[in-house]
Amino acid sequence: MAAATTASPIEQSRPAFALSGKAKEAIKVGLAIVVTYWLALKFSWMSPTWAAVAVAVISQPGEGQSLYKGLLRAIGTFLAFFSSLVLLALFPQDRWMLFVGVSPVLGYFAYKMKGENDYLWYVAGFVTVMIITAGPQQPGHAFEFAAYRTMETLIGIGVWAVISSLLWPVTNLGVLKSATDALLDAQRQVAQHGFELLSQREGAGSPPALLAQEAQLVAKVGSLINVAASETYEVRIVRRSWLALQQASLKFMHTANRLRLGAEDLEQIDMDAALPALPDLSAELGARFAEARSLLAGKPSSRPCREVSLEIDRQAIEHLDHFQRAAVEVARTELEQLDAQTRTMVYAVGEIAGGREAVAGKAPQSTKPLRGPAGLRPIDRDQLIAAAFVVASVWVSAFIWIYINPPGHVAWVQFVPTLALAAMRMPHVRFFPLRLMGYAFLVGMGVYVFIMPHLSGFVQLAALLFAFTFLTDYYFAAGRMPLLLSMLIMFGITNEQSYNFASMANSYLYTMMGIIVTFALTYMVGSPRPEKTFLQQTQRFFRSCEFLVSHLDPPESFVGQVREAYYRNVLRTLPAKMCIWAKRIDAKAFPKNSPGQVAGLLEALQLLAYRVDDLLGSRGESAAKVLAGDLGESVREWRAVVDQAFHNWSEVPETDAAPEQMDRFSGHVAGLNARIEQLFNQSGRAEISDAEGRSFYRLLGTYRGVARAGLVYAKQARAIDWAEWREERFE
Amino acid sequence: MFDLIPNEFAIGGVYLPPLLVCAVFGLILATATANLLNKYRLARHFFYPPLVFVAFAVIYTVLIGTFVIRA
Repeated sequence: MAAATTASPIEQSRPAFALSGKAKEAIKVGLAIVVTYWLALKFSWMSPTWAAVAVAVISQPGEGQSLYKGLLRAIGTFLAFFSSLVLLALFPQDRWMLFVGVSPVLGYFAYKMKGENDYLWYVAGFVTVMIITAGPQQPGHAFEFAAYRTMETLIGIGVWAVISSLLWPVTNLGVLKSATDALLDAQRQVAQHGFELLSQREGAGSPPALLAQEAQLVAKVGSLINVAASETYEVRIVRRSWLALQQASLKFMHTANRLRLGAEDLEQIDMDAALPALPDLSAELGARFAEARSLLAGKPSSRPCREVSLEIDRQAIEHLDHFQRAAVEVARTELEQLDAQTRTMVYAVGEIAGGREAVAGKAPQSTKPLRGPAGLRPIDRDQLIAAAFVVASVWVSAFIWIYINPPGHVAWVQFVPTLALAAMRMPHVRFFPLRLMGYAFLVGMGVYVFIMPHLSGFVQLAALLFAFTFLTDYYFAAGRMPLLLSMLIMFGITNEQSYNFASMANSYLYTMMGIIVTFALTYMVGSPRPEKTFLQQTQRFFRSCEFLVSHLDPPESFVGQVREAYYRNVLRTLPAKMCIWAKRIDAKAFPKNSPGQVAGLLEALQLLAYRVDDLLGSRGESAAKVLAGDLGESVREWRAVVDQAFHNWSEVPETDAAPEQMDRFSGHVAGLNARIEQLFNQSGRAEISDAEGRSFYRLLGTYRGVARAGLVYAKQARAIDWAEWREERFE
Repeated sequence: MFDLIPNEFAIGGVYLPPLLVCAVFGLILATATANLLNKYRLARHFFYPPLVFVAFAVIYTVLIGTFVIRA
């Protein structure tokens, strides 16, 4: 008992009062805002709020100096500076032509607004509308306006960089290393669960929480590499190795996922007997993850990666039918991929620990994004809609300004497209930030009316700004950005501060009207109800599957290649987007569809996406001719059934959940198996070479994989009450 | 009873248009109605609820403007 009450030496040396990390971040942001305002007011810059807005946007609590985000903002601002000045120079006296010119530029920025650099394009978009509206506001001063805007943004970035690197500096290197270590540990556990599932010692596989953690860590490491490289030389020189590690982890996640989701295909098969080296590979992968973590922690290399030969025991699979053999072959291919991916991880971590760049030739290849013909990226429908929506917002706000001219006047053309750009960055959180802005403006109004007129001098103003920024950052971290932006705009701080209630009330009115108009415009994109979007996405998913399965032969024409790239891209990206929307479905409003059921449906869709992608990837297999020739008729029949199922699901997602359809589906698979057996017996193909055999079974495995994934989907779709989601309700 | 309700509202010496006040109350009532319809699963009988919501807001605004706060 006495020992429990005695403070340890560490506790004794701890100061009585210590600031939390959250408080430190809030102090840093508050200080940066105050210093930025001081500089802007001291030098009488055009709008001091711009510099402060830059600080509010780039300061990210808990993620170090955010210099990378600052860099993106600076590039975006420069891009907007040049594009808007060109537009103003081209159409100096014609507002309609100016809007015609702005539309494609803004549409392009909105289209590009995805991926890790989406912030750059977002900034380019909203600064462009900001500068072009300077024309009507201050004719003849557009260049000055644009130059001030650019300079103040850069000053805001600079102030934040200095403060965050001098005061309680936090670099992202530590965060990156700890996230990578956690990722390696999570993937070790995923691999372990996967092998247990294959050996059928445990039937559950990885728990969903572990898989979610793995996905989050892969994304986190990916987002941190460029951020850390922008601030740390140690990361910059081995950036390629970090990227190779992250790509290998991403591939590992997908391969392990395929293996896990496809494990049901192997349930009747003794995998330990079919692949005797399975326990050996399991132990080797575990050792590789341990080695990678040890290298990351700065310890010397203790063991090289060992070769594990995954040979199939022919005697053990003799009694299996051809589809089961194909499933074993597919599993072996996936296990070999896991082997290669973990090897890449160890190699990349070795290079990171050694502090040298990856050696050419040895460096692992990163996953290349899907490309269409002529190396072009496939068209993204969601981004096209985002572009159309942003352009529409420009025109709607222009009409409101020109023909109605409500309070706000030309600022409508600036405010509504900015909100539209923000809404399209995160389409699944449509109204939350807008509502938050409404509240923040209300608070800002209170401060503007009751506190600000009593301030005399910068010291008092600084105290107010610091207090507000600190409280917002500390207590409302989730909505800090819209809150800070709204308040800074509402304060409207300038050197010659004047107070006007009518102007403030007008400003609030126009802000609220702008928010309502933007929200109403979002109906152009579709219903804000997540379950409705989910339904549409499910149908789109199956339309893509239908197209890809019905056009299996590689297209020769340019248009055909563009279409295939488009649908394949949908297949690869849509399940992840659907996951985001599914999380926003209100489970209380739809009690018949539990989150677990929705997660099961999503897993089935993901499995289907993998299998259809595998089917397309298998077109180059040398055994493809066998399936096209001897088994052509059966394969065509099978394809017709699958094609019809996809078509039905694309119209009504639960159509083929009927048992008779499922029987028909699996009946064709069984028929094909009998036909293969017959052909093998007739032509003595049992004696085919090992390479040919592997190719044949791999190909057969992809066909079987699609069919099995379809059956899994049908089973999951039956558990969902689709009518409940379709039912109309108010938002 | 409604005669007692002023048809002009002043906050801090600034008069607010009666229509604005009516619209605010109309929106509040429309939101309450929509929530009730959702709760009792009656919203499913409407073809397009967002338009119905706008219609509710307009109807309530007109009713309040005509009978309660005479604009």
